Amino acid sequence: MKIAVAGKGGVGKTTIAGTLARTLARRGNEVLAFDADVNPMLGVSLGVGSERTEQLVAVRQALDEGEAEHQPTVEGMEQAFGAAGPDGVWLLVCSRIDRADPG
Amino acid sequence: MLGELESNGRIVVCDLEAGLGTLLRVQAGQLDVALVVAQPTAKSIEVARRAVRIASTTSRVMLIANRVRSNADVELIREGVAWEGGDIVIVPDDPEVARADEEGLAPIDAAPNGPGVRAVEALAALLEPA
Repeated sequence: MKIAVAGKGGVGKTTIAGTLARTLARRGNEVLAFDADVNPMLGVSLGVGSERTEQLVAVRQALDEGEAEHQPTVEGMEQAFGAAGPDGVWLLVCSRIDRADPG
Repeated sequence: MLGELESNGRIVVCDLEAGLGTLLRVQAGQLDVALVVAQPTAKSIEVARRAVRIASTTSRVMLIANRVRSNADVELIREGVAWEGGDIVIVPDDPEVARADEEGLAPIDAAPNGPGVRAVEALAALLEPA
């Protein structure tokens, strides 16, 4: 099942996504939390912490800059750009900050 | 990328980029549920109105009224979005959630018993596959 959270910036989207992911995991589901926002803060709302979230974003950035190896499969990407978070949620950061639209 | 991720019995929760960009690119079958979040402000309601219209073409849509302080807030959002999809998921304004955000903490850790987190827990129960 795939759920996406949408809305204007600053509306509480990320906070809801993070809390929802943790809750679904606590209820016994295997959960992948997928950060596609250009301001990737889902890790913070998940409870991964600001530092770890920034590390994951940096890994993603390195790929865009050609410093990290491209992963041939989606599964490879999940491992390379992901990290385990609280309650067993797997966090995956896939934002492309360098291509962020202003505003 | 969203389309390529396999569900395989798990639940994928995707935090989309702000605005409408990603929703416009979602194709049928790539997404089961779109949670469209609005708060009682004119701009967020306008974005939500468009998001609901776009997402309805490819997936089930639920409207979430966030940071709600009163019934009037809910009605403002319902009317502004021109929502005809039944119940709106109401997430009450919760100062402890706001504080957790400011401090870089997960609301579910910092304010687990507050009305904000409780409302999202209720939402999770609605979404869970049977």
